[in-house]
Amino acid sequence: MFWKYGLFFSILSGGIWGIFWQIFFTIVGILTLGTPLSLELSQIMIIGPLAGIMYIKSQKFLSIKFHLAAIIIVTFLIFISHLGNPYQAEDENQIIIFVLILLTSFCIWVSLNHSLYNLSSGKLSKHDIESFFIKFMWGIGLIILILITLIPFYIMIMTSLKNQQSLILNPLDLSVNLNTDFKTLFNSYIELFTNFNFHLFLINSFIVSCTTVIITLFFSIPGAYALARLRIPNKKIFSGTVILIYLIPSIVLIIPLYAIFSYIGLRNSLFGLILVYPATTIPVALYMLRGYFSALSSEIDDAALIDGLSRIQIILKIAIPLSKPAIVSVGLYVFMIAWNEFLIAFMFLDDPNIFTLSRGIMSLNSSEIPQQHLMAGAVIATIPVMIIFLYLEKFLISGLSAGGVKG
Amino acid sequence: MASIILQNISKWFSSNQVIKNVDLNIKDGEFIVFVGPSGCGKSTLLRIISGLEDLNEGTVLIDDLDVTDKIPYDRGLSMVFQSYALYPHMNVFDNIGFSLKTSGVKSDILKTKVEEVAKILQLEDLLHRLPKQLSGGQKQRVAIGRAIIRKPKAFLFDEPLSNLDAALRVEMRLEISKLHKELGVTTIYVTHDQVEAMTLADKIVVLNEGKIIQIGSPHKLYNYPKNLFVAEFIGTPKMNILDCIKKEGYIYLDKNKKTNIKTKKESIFKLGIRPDNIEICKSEKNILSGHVKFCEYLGSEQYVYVDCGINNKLIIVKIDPDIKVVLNEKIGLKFISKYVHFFCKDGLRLI
Repeated sequence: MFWKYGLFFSILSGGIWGIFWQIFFTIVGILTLGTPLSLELSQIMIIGPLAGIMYIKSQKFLSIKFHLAAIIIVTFLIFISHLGNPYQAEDENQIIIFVLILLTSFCIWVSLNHSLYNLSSGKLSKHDIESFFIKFMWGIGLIILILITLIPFYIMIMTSLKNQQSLILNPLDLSVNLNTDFKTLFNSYIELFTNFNFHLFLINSFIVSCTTVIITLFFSIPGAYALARLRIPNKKIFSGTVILIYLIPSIVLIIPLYAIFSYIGLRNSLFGLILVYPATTIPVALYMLRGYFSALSSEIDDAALIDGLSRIQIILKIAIPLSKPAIVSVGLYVFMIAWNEFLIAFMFLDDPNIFTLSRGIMSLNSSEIPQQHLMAGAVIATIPVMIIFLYLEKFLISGLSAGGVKG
Repeated sequence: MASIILQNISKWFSSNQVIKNVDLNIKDGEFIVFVGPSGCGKSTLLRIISGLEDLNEGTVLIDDLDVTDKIPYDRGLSMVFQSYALYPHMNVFDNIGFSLKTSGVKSDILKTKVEEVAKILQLEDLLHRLPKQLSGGQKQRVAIGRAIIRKPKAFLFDEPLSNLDAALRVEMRLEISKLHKELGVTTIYVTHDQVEAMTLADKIVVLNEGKIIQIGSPHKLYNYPKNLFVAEFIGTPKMNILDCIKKEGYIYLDKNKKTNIKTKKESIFKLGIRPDNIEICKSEKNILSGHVKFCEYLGSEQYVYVDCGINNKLIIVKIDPDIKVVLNEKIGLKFISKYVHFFCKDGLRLI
C-alpha cells in the first residue's frame, strides 16, 4: 500500500511544513513591513513535497554543505515559481522579502530534517511510521503552542511602544524604530506612572494578592491536612461539597455581595476585596493540597506522633516542608487568580486611589486615552506575574518527598 | 522496660468490630510476636498499644499504669514501621535525634547520644545522608535507631522486614534478635511471616478475626496447636488436614482407606499430620497408598504431593531429597502416630 512507503511520508510532511511556514512567514512579513502581502500557497504545495523527496532520496550523503545547498535550491525554486516576486510586494522591500523566503526554506528544511531523519524512502516498518508521526506531531504541536502564546504578547509590547501618530497611520506595522530616545519609546509607561496613578494600582494589587495568598494558605493547609488525615464525621460529604462553590458563577454571587457589602460599608475598600477573594480561592487550595497531603505516607505522621509532636507541630515540621512544591504552586495559583481578578474589583471599587491593576486598566478604556496606554497597562500587569513565576519555578520541581518511605 | 497488660480491648471501625475483647499479659523483657492472616487486626492491636489508634472499650496498662487516654509520646514506647517512615527532608542524624530534639535535649548531649546509637547500628558513616541516599537495609537500621535512642519502655515493630528482599530480611531478623538480647527491652512484633514469628518470638500470639486464638511459645504452637486454625497457620508447608472416621479402633480416611493409626479417642472429625511426619514405603495391601502427582525439589528437602483419591485432596509429604520419585508412581504412606493430631467437630484439638 502506498502509504506505507517513506516517499509518501516525505511528500506529506513536505507539503504540510511548506504550507505552515509559508503562512507563518507571510504573517511575519505583514507585521514587519506594515504593508499587505498576498498569501501564495499553490506554488509551495509543489515545492514543499519536492523538498521532501529531495531530502529522503539523499539520506545517505547528508552533510552541512548539502544542507546549505538544499536550502539555496529551495529558495531559488520559490523565487522562480513566483516569477521573482513571491508576495506581490512593492519593489522597495526586496531585501526583506528575500530574507523571508530564505527563512521559509530554511525552516522547511529543518522541519523535514526533524521529522524525516533516518527514514528510508522504501517500505517502512510499523515502528518507523509511529516514530515519524510522533516526531511530526510533536514538532507541529510545539510550534503552534509557541506561536499562540508569543504572538499576542509580541503585539502587546510592540503596540505599547508606539506613539499615537504611527498607530493611526498604520495599525498593522508592528516594527519599532529603536533609534528614538528612551523617553519617546517608553512614553506610554511614563504617562501611566505619572498621570494615571499606576504605581498606586501596582501597590494595591500587591497588597490584595499577597494577603489573599497568606489567608488562603493559612486556612487551607490545616484544613487540607485534616481532610487528608483525621477521621472526621461526614468527611466525604464535606470535602465533596466544598468544591461546589465553583459551580456558581461569580456574576451570580456578585449581586447579593454588592448589596450586602454596600449595606455594611465594605464596598469600595480593599478590605472588602480581601474578604471575598479567599472565599473563592480556599476551596480550590483545599482540594489541591488535600490530594498532595494524602499522597504523603501517613506512617511518617505516625512516627512523628510517637516522637512526641502534636498535630500542629506535624503540619509545621513535617507536612509543610514535605509539600513545599505543592504549597508554592497553590500559592502561585491563588496569587494569579487574585492578581487577574476583574469582575469583583470592577463592581466594588469606585475610588481611583484603591484601584487594583485590572480595575485600573479598565478605567483606561475610553476614547480619550490612546490605545498604546492600554497595552502598556497590560504589560505592567503581566510582568510581575512572569517574574514571580520564573523565580519560583525552582521550588515547583517536586521529588522532595522521594526516598523517605519505601518507594 | 515494662510489662504491658491489655484488658478487654474492643475496637470498631464504624459498625465493623475489628478487635473483639482481647486480653493479653506481656511480661517485662519478653519478645512477643503477633501473627495472623491479613485483616486479622494484628496491626490495629499494635496501634492501640502505641496510642495511634483510639479504642472503644478496655484498658491498656503499661507498668501497671493506666495509659488508655494518654497520647503516644507519653506512653514511652517507640515504634518501627513497615515503610520505615523516615523524615525525607532530614538527614540520618536529625532523623535519629528528632524525638530528643523535640523534647528539648541540649545539642551536645544529643550529639553523643546519636553517635552512640549510630555506633550500635553501624551508621556512623551515613549520618549526613538523606534517606533517599540509603539502601533499604540502611533505612531500616535508621528507623530502629530512631526507636532505640529514647530508651523506650517497649519496642513496637509493625511488619518491619516485609519491604526488604529475602537475603536482607534474614540478616535484619538476626540483628533485631541480637538487639533484643542486648537491650532486653519488651518487644512486640507484628508480622504475617511465620518464619519471622517462629525464629524471633519468646511467645507467639495467633490472631484471627480480631480474637486471640492461642498464645504460646513457638514450640508449643507447633506441636500442640489449640485448634484447626493454628494447626494450619503455623508451619510450612501446611499441615495436612483430612476428614476421617474411626472404625474398629483404626482410623479410616474414607470408607475403605485404612491408615496405620490406632486410637482410643472418641468423636474424631478430622486428623492433621505435618508433611515431615509421614513416611513413604512400598505400596502394599492394608497400607494407605496413592499416586505421586507433583514433586518439588528444594535441594535440602523434597516435597511430593500424593493423590490418595480422597475428595481430590493431595497429601503433602516431605521426603529425603536423594530419593528419586517418579510421577504417577504408586507409593504407600505411613503416618507416624505420635505426631498425628485429632480434631473434633468444632475444630478444637482432642487431647
